[in-house]
Amino acid sequence: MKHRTFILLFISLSVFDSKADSLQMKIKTASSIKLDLVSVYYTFFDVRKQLRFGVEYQPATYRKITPVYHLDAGLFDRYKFNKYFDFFNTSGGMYHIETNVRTIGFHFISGIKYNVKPALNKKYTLFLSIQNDLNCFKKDIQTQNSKTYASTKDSENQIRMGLGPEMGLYCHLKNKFSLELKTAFFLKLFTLKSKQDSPDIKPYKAVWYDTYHTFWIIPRINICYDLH
Amino acid sequence: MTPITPFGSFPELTFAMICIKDPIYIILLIVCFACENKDIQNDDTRLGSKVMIIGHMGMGVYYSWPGNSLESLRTTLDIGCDGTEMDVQITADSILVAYHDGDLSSQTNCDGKIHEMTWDQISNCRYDQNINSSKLIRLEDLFSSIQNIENYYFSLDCKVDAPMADPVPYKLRFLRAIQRICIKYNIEKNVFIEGPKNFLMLTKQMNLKNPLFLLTIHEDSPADTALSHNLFGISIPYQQGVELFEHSSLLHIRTMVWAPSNYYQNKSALEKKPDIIQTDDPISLLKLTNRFNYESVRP
Repeated sequence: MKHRTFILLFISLSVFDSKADSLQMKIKTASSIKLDLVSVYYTFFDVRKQLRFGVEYQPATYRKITPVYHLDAGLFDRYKFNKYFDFFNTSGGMYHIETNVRTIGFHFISGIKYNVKPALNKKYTLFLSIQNDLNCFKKDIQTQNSKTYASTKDSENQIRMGLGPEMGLYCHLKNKFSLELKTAFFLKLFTLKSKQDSPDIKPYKAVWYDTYHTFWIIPRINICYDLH
Repeated sequence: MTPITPFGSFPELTFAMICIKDPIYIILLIVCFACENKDIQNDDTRLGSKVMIIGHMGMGVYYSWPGNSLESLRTTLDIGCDGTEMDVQITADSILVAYHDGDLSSQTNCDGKIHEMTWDQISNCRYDQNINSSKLIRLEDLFSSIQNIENYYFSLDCKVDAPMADPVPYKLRFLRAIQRICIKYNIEKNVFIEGPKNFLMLTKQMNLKNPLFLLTIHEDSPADTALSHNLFGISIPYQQGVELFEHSSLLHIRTMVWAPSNYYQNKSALEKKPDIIQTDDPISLLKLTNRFNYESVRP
């Protein structure tokens, strides 16, 4: 409910501001910083823990062609996996193996953005871009057997790079605030692993990816603040 | 007090007008109401154990692969389930086959009834699923493909209601086939048999060691019936009142519930503290109880 209250409050503030359309104040060289709301995806839709922030910097927001830099870093995943055995105590008593997994890392997404007919006085601006996603993760796995008290620890690192197109919509909300909705489609270029035989760590920022992590989709909902 | 808005004192109307005027707010609203933080639920049972999570026909009726197919059944185990329920029928040459319906034509590209045909006649039958078509399988195919099979549980919904002149020899043949395969893989304690009372009585007469679950919907006091016939548990819909679960645990009769098919129904089933949940949405239930294997790869 806290999340809903926050978003509703944000919508209300944006809508009832009497100066909402005063876009003329913006200057052509304005750059913007953005906060990605989708970075908290798991918090909303899953039971996994995460603590990460997605921020983006775009110099020359209203130019036709402009570079964009996005960094999403922090704790991407922390979950526990319990597997129980011998439920009815038929062979020595019930026990379980607990696996704790923690993944930290970052997605660095950079690219060139093409604004279709950018204009200061337009409410919506469509844009297309070519993006490059470099993601790097460190995964720690600990297991503990409640019967034998045996425990194991393991760790691995992986780097993956992907390239692909992106499209989206830029919407002016209020004086310096805007909302940006966009989706990028990435195709894997390469993966580097510290353990060659280990399975691929998924691209965590993606909300959809194929079985072998060769193709992934990253949507972003950015709250943008213009810097003059 | 109703707040004053630009459209008067009707905040709902105000918001509707805003959404019509500016569709971006509709998107924000959808995001807003889709958000729900899902908490880990208690998975203890009344008898001091943990609830066993098994899939219904594998990954359930909504999975992209057909229920009772090898892909669906194996995936259930890979994602972290403790086992799976499956529908079982027997061929004329006594091979146990995983299939639900009375006639092959309803789900596959073949015609006929399994108990009237031999395995050779149906072994090439394929499910009529547009995208993912898989073959009909024997229990043997499933069991032989599982490593450490003793760590998993299987609940057999035995389809023994085929109309025939003398059903008892047919049911006995069915039970002998189950006995053979359980002994072969040494999993008698891990294979539950669900069925009506008369079928379970036959099972007891044959001295099968499998846990037996009385499959019932309308019986007034199924736990008492199970106790009086020395059965292991009862198999009931998850919507049953909590009193039945409390009463069963007092009698030390295990409860297996079936039919939850989404996150909210899984949550509701968990709150009743049954011993076994047979779900059509195993992923959300496993996540709710910290038991989902995020490393698994699903076909």
